[in-house]
Amino acid sequence: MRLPKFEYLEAKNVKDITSLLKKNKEAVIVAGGTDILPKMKQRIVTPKFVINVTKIEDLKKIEFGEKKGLALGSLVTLDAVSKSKPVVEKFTALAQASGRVASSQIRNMGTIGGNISIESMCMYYNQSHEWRKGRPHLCFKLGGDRCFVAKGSKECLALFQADTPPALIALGAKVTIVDGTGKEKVIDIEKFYTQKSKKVNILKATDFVKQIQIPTPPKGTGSCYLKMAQREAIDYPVAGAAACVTVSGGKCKNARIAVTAIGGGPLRLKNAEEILIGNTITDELIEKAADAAYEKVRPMPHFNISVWYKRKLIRVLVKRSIKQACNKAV
Amino acid sequence: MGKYSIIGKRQVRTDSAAKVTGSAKFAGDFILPGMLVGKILRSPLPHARILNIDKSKALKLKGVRAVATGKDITDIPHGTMRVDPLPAILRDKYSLAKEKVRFIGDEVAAVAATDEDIAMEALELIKVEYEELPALFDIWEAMKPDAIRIHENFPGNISTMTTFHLGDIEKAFAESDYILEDKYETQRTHHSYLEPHAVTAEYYPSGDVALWSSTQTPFYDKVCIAETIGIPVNKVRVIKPHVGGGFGAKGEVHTLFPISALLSRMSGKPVTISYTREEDISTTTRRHPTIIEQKIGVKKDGRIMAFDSKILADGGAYQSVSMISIFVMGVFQHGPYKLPNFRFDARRFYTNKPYCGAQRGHGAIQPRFVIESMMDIIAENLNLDPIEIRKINALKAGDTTMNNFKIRSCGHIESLDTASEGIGWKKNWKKLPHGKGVGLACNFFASGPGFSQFYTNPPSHSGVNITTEEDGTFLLYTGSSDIGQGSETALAMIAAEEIGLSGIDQLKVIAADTATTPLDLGTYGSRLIVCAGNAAKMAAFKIKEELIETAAEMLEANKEDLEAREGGIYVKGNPEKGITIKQAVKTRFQIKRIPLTTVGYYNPPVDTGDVSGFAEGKVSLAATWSFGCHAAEVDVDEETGVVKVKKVAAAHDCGFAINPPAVEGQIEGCVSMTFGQATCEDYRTEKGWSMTNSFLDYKIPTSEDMPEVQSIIVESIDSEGPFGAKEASEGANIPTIPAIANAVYYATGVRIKDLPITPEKVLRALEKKGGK
Repeated sequence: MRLPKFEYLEAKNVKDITSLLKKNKEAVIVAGGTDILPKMKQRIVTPKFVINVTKIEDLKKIEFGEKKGLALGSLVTLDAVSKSKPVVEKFTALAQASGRVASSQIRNMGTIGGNISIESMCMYYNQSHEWRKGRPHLCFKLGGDRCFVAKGSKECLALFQADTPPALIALGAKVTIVDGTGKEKVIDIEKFYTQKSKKVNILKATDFVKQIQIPTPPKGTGSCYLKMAQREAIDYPVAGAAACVTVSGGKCKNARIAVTAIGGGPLRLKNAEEILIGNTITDELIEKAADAAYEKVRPMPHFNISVWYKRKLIRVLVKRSIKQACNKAV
Repeated sequence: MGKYSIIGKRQVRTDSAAKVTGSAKFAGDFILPGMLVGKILRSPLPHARILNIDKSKALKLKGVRAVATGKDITDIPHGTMRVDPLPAILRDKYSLAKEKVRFIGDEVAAVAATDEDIAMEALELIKVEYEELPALFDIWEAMKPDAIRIHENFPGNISTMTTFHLGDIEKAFAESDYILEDKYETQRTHHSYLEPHAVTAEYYPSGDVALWSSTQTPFYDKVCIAETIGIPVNKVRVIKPHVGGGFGAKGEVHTLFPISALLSRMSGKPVTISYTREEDISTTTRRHPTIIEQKIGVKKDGRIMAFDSKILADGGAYQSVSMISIFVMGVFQHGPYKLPNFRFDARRFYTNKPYCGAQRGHGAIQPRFVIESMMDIIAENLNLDPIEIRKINALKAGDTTMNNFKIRSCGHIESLDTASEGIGWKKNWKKLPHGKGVGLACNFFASGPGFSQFYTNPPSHSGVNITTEEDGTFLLYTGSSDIGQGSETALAMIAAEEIGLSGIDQLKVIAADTATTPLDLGTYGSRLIVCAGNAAKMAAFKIKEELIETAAEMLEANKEDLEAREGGIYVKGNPEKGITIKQAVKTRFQIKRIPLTTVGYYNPPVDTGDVSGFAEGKVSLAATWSFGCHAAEVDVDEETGVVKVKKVAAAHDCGFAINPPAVEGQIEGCVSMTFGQATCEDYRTEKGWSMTNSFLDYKIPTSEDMPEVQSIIVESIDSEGPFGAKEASEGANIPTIPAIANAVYYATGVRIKDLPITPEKVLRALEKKGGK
């Protein structure tokens, strides 16, 4: 499959991105291109303009200071994130999540900004133009009136499957977004997501992600991201779970848990966190937190993976990620 | 010094440099002056009558040079089931649909345009009027008495039926001490070769056409192309360039071959067509999904008394080679275990889905999963060792099976011993901690079918010519198709060894060009090493004889006293007295002044071509038979159901390894392919819509998933194969699945009987067993 025709534009700095996005309607930003290019080939997206942002060195920096915390430019590659020394040491869940995205080739190209901005995916939507055009009905995501995932559904049930968002939620990350006027705003990563499959994040056409910041975790903190996929490489997760736990004197001071690939966005599991916070960490306690996760999640059906299996899997992944986070915390 | 100086040694392949430097040209790499791009319009409906096709708008689009429909081709359908006395109705597919479309993706029209974008645009301008017909999406719908007929000539939508009964099944079960009845299901898989189907065709004003096509069977393609576009066969030239794998799918004559020739004729320009991965996965052939009910009767000591085997297969929209697929699902059950009584009943149904045909391990994969799983269940229930039960039933060299298979060599026992040793059977079987386990399974496969489904009277099954250059080097012409397995290198090694050359660089292989190389039936049925290999050996032997005769004159010696080896011809026992082969070539040219070209050919033994017992399931079938055993070690996560295959010790009896690294490579490739079928591959459709159309959704294993593979070469030295060689590219595809299934059982106590063995199925089975 070939790319559709488009006009190529290049942004030399951050300001350029805003002005190019403003000037040219129907433009898309291409950084790693690992998500957008296949979609363009399938004619899911047919932008008039493509803005190459990969020459902007300012957005490729990883900065870390004990006080300032971690700052990742949105163009840092997933491979670089996964191998960065401060990320591996202090933000383990993020290193693990970045290191498990797709394959090494894709991690070399794909960026952290791109990964958090990935749209939801669906077997009835992420298909070629030739495939989609023959179908007698359009789905919600294509502007139609139905969802093929579950008959009778009143909304789109495409699945959000990105790996890094649950890790970033667990680590309490913030995202800097630049809007159409060039103004920056910093929001909690949780607020970045709409929990709606049809449009999973709050980015408008003229917005873009500039940076991701994570505060340095307090002493005694450990984090972990675990993913189960059908294959060791290439695949999105069947489910993924991240946990970040702060332990002091055997007691859990703080905990944040989030999962992915269960619905229209990454989901934070506060009910599971509450079970841990303030209590002495034991295997039984962790089992209880995992049970809470199991009770809370209502995964969407996804092609060949049943709801039954996904809930079971979430339980196991939440349990194991908490355990591993606790092990690192000590 | 060993017995041989070239074969059996680790030889770098003749195509290595081209492939590692990226200079190797595949069918889609040819760029000819004025070349157009062809694209195919496909049916969006699973079952419909074509009322009208209006191509006027498409023809008006700037850059469009030709639009073809079913009206532009002859009334001869293509398909390889062509041999007398097969009924003509078995060829049930036109290159472009004439009256009906039968699956989503069926070819309706084709366009040639100056570039791909214009061709795509033109497809959208072709207006097809359909009358939608009821569609049948599974075999249960297809077999309903009032179901619509997908093909008029096939009542009940049964595309193929094979039933036979050898021995006395009822008596055998009555005399059995233990009977096991069980039911299994296998899924559709796709071959997933690296190179999707591609072709470049050029039609000349003379009325000839040449095609560079990604094919396993250029000689079959040639005939079908000529028949489809209505020109004499001798006007079609098919050249097989480098091919990026086929695994059975490219032994089929797909629409793009005749259609590229047709578009080239209509436009007067060369035309290239490359399928996208989506087109390839959703519209070419795939492995048959089956439901198998098997009943096995044994004596107390494990001796097999009888198999009663019932198979239902979902064939999809067209016939393909299913006549063979279904037949061999039966007869391949005659090994590697002695089978004294056998009843077989198999039906394949048409459905409105992409159609199924041959895939590596053709027809053997499905029943072998069943039999090898059941052998373990029987062994456990009779308190026998899984290896012992496989040994006491073993065929051996010299045996003839009750349906006439001649077993000329047999490495079954050695395969069992070496594979089980490789996996540490004695210390690991049933001794590993819970969640870990080892299991094994055996295989049996044909090497060199005795008849062609295509040609009634081929001049020979494989022909090879060898000639010389003025400088004393050699040219070997073969019609056989190297599609990546390394057969050209193997043929060069066989010929170089036989002639007595110092290396394969002294001999150049020219292959698979229907205009210049002698006929070869193609790459399928694991026939190449036996058939083309023997033909190469014969041609090489003859040219050696000619050269020895010349050398005898030069050396003033009796030719009986001479031998050719390592580039020279010497008096036996007197290495001082000799000449080089190069000198012999030159001198012969000067003395005799007649061309030095020898003709080698091979036909499998006459009895293997006798199909008079076909209906009773009694045919000798293949020149020879391969054996083998895989032993797998798995690690099962009992909380998630995830199965990790840690290692496969894969022993394969290839008779004799002409080029050992090529055999090892084939074994590894086989393990990769069927490890995928065992654990993750599953081609899916939904209401006829192809769903798993990319390698994101159709999950072949990645390098990171692959288990360690220990390739074990077993050499039984076959009497029919060249230097004792038998096939090495299909048999090893067969036992991986049941070996993994058996290992999962010993690890967890649960047995998965429908493929693939997914984490979800394992977890469900574990919970059921645990009473949750």
